[in-house]
Amino acid sequence: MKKEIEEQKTVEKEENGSIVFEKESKKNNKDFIQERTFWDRIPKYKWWVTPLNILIVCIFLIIIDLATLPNTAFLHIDWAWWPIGGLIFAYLVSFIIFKRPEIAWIIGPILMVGTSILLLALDLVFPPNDGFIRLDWALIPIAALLTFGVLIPIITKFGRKKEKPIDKFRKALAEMKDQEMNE
Amino acid sequence: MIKNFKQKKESPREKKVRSKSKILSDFISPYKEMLSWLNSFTVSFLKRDASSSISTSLPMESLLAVLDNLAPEKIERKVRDKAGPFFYKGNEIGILLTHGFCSTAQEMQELGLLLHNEKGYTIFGVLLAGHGTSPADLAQTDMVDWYKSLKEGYDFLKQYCEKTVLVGHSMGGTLSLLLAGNEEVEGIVTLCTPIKVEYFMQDFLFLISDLLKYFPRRKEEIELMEKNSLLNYRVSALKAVEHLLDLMEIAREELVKVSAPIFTITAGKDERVPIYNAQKIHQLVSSKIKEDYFSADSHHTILYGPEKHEISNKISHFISSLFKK
Repeated sequence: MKKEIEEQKTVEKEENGSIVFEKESKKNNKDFIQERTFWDRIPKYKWWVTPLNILIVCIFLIIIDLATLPNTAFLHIDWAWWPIGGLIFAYLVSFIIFKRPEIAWIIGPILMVGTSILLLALDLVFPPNDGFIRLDWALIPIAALLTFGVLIPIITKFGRKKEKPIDKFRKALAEMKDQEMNE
Repeated sequence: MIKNFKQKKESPREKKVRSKSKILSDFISPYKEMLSWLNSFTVSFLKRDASSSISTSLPMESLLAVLDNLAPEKIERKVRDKAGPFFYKGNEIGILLTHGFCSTAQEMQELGLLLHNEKGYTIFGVLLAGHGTSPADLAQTDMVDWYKSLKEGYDFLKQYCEKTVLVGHSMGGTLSLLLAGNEEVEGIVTLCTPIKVEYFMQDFLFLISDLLKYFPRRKEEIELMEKNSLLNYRVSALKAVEHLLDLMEIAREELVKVSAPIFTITAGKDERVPIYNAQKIHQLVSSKIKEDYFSADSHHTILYGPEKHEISNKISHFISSLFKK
């Protein structure tokens, strides 16, 4: 985690014969000088732009579905439920990952498990179902998704080596002493 | 180095590739602009800056923190009014007061004022890093930052006083013990100080703190804060709790260095720090003078409990006993 360097401005004030400090933290100006990344170049929009556009696309899909026959499924919508669900799901997942990248390690595996279940269902629904545990083609992609998308991210998250607090503290103490000596 | 900036002559093949890519980018650009909203997930209504008028009202902090669990807020770093450090200049004996986790210097002000008025001590109430500003600011700090704040306070007090006594409440006591192990002090007073706790799921906090940034404090605690107009945070930043546990681990290893007289105060109804902590501190320190006081009816916020006057007197008595010839 990148720690923001801060500069503290202390103002002394006389109150009832005693000194009261008023501290105001100010971010170091160096922090504001940053290189423009790929994401900075993308224009920024108000929060409602993306959901509104998704809504318009969904309405468009529903209209196409209703305009074409046979219109026998739930609410006369035959196939549009799937792309609509997919769009909303993709938006929610990307929203979480963009806003909280640190939880990508849990959202990612959930997605992979979901996709594996979908592949499993598809393979089982369509014949001939004569392979290993009745799976014809889904076994290899499911195994790959579970290995690389679920197991490895979770193992690496749990197994991350952390510096011992006492070592961190002693190192900081030594640095502070060095700084004092230099001053 | 200047050589690198010299323009090279473009070969016909490179020219062809460049013109091709230009045609492609010209063709894509209107669509790129149109579709770029797909990459924009700015939800300003969830951010702290958009609701600054609400955020100034403290009871709303818990609600805002719940929203912040979904979308990280803008970090507020300005110290709240009356939460800052205080200094009362007195005699050559300096008392360094340290507040607890999620609290502010204001918590120790009453005790500081009493010690200054009664005995004329020089008092400095320190404000630890990340405290008195916003829970998001606290989440960015760790035990080393808190220790550095205390050390700065100690160095400041040393300019005015020859002798220093440390008084710390809760985590402030743990930090005071660490400072006493590394600097010269005349005595230490710890109030409800933890060096070992067993919180629910504490070993998995590093995973939980990724999913949940803040956790609201208990209703009784918030009520007590409201009653005493305390500026403490109404939520705990879980990343900071992780560092608090690390601090306790450090303290357990460093306590052997403490040789100054020590006075521990424990609360009988402490819901945060188990009472065996005082006993553990006594076992681990190398001090020759070890005293303890058990306040049966007090809660963790011991300085605002029913026995607060008695506790203040006990602290005052212990400090004066250190300087009796």
